[in-house]
Amino acid sequence: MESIITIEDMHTEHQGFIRRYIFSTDHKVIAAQYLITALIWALVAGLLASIFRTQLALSQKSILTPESYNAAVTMHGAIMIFWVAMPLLIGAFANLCIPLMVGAKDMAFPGLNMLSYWVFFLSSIILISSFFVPSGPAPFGWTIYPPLSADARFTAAKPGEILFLFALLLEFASMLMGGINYITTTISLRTRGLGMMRLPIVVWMQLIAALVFLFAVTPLVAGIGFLLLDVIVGTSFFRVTAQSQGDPLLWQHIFWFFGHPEVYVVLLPGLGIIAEVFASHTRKPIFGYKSIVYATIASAVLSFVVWGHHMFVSGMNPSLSYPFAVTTIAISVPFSVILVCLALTLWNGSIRFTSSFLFALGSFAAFIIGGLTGLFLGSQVLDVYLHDTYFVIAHFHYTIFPSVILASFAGIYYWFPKLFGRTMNEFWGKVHFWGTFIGFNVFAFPLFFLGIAGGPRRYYDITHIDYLRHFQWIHILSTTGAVLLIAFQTPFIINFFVSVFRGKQAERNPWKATTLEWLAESPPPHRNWNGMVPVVVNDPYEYSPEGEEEEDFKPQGILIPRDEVLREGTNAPTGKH
Amino acid sequence: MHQLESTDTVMESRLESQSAIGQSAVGIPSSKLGMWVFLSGEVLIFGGLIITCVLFRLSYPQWHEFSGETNALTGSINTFVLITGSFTIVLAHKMVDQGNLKSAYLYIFLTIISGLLFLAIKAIEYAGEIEHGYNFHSGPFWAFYYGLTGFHAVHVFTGTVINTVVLILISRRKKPGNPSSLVENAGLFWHFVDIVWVFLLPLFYLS
Amino acid sequence: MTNKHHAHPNYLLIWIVLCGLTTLSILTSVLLNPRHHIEFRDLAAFILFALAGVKAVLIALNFMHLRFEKILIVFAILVPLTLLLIAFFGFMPDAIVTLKR
Repeated sequence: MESIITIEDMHTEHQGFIRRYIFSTDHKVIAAQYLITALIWALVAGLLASIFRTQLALSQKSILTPESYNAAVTMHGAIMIFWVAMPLLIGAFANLCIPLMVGAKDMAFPGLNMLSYWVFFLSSIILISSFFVPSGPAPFGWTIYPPLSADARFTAAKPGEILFLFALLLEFASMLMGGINYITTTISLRTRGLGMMRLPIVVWMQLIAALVFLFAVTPLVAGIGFLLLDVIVGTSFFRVTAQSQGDPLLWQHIFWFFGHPEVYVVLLPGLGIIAEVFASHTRKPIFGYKSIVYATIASAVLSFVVWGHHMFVSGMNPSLSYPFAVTTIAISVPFSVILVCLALTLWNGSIRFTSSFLFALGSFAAFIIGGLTGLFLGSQVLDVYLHDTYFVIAHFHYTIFPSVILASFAGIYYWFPKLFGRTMNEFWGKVHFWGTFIGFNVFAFPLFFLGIAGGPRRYYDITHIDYLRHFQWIHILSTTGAVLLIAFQTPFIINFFVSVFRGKQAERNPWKATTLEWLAESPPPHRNWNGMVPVVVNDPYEYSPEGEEEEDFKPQGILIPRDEVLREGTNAPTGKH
Repeated sequence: MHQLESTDTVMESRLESQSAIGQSAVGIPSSKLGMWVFLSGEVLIFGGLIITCVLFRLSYPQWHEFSGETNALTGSINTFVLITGSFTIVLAHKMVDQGNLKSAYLYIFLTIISGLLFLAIKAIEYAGEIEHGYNFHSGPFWAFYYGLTGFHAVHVFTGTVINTVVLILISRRKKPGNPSSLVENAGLFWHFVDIVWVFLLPLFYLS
Repeated sequence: MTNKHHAHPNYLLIWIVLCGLTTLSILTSVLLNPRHHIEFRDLAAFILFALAGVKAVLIALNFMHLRFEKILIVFAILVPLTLLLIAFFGFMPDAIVTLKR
């Protein structure tokens, strides 16, 4: 019998409002907290983009001063990567999906999990405060290059900068704490029958992303430590002064050693979400499960040896350029394997075009454009021309926006019924999709051409430049798309909040999906399984199995009462590991 | 993990232990795995600091002159102090495993003392060096020295606090669920701090 | 959660060896002091860091029980160290050139 529980019944009766919804150790509450905070930051960063894009389009007016423009583009970039992409894709979706999909009652360290959110919240407060200091927020680009960032001779925004760097360190600490949970839970708390090769793809992606982040961000923590010493104390790790010689290029190495794996960290969870949505919406298993897993591991490993492609024109030793170009082109191989497998999942599928699926498909298609344009930038010869132009901006918006924003929307529409026990409105979901997708393409695609024409990025105004003046129309067109994109988030915001409180109550398994989280109630109670134990008996994507079936799918697991499981003795998982 | 104790706690924890260990791909309890994930990140933080230091050092042929100004005697004493602290805390773990809690309390206490001793010696060292006029602005050697040993000292302090908390937890009347695991994990952090110092010694004092 | 009880190596012996290696390091630094014998500078550095490496391995394998949990050696030690080596050799061509100037 399907039992339908509303969000009010979600927790035990003994806890007051504060313990249930504010300082909760329940991974689902923490996921919702990360989700809401990240969406708010997305709105802030999106509005920042609208403002500076308007400045770019209406170049004769002065909406922003050049200094404020620099701060706006810096904050837009930094917020989007660290305060939107990571809490959304990882804070929200890893917290929601991992314990449920591995059949656990909660994360391995629930107290640490709660702490990770509140440290993130603290980092948000500190970042916001950097907007209100007299010097304004950090203006040196999200890449924080010295000497601009390290030397007081070049930057006047010292308080804002210091606050930004501390906020960043706290954000890293929060995500590292989360990562400890995601890695340990996925490895240690898998339920009976769940070998590693039976994990849903999205869990594999979260695990690999958490490991990549762990190994990539930690040297940068060291680098930021040195940078803070340069800024606050006046050392010369990265600065060059008459008395003491540091190395600004060393910062770029340290930053991109982190920066490149980081883009895979914010990419893989989105691909995992796309995989889940594709499987359940095409009623087909994921094509090439093992290939995807191995190819993802290969991509993750290779991502640590490509960082120099961000530095081809930085004055880096030219003998390093060739190896980095080779590894960069090489990494496209395992990556293509993943994308081809996802495409073949669609082939001959019986597709249901829900909002969730539309976002997943749109994300997949747009990402391919982004990925292909990366090949041009990976060649050190072409990059000499294209570096720091709008071509780069268009490239990374075509990779990051689909894999972070569009994929997150796919995930939100998909798991909303599970998390909140209610259904979102499908019509407005589709309106949201088309507005977002069209708006995004109108904003981003023209920028490729501005880049090829030689239009430099981060420039406040191109109408002063002879060879670019007559490309100003591209800025106007792009800004129109950006404004459209932001405007069409309105139906989503309304849909989201109305549905949370007044949406139609959701079934246990509205998408008829196979993975374990759909065995739990919508929403699952505290400790997830109501005293039962989910036991895995099938592979994760048994859609349209052969033979006569009432339903066109076999759920991955079944719920068994706890005493029965205990009576059966040791419970080593079947399958590898 | 002990949020909601159900009435049949024993059964539940048995099931949990079977779930956590029996199916773990590596057969390692969750708490230890979590600590190792954390430590592998720390390896890269200190590693990043150290390789930056080495890169600077390889460019300054006169580095060894600066390391002559640090006090190799106090640096070496601190090394013995930390090594002994590592020894005592792993003995504490062995005592807990053997059920000899009284000896375990003593050994953890000795480890705490070793941490405090290290910090005291370090403070005296810093005071002496600052009096001599060496601070962050005295060149890259000193910037790295203060930065790295300072960051390390923060870890020694944190480790000492952790060890104190662990001592309190296992000496109370109501024992924690798994005292062996608790002491072992605290020990892992302490050993890591010790290993970092083992590399800082040649880097700043001896060569 | 019950621990898999692994064996305890002879901690006292390890401690004695560690103290011995430290003493050896101090002796090396005194005897091959670069300020007096500049030609031994690199040899001294090599010996000192090698000794440090041996000490670290002893602590890691025995005190941290990695001898009994070999898979952790791969993920928690080898992978981070490999990454550090990649970073070091990737940064070196630029750092050495710039800083030497």
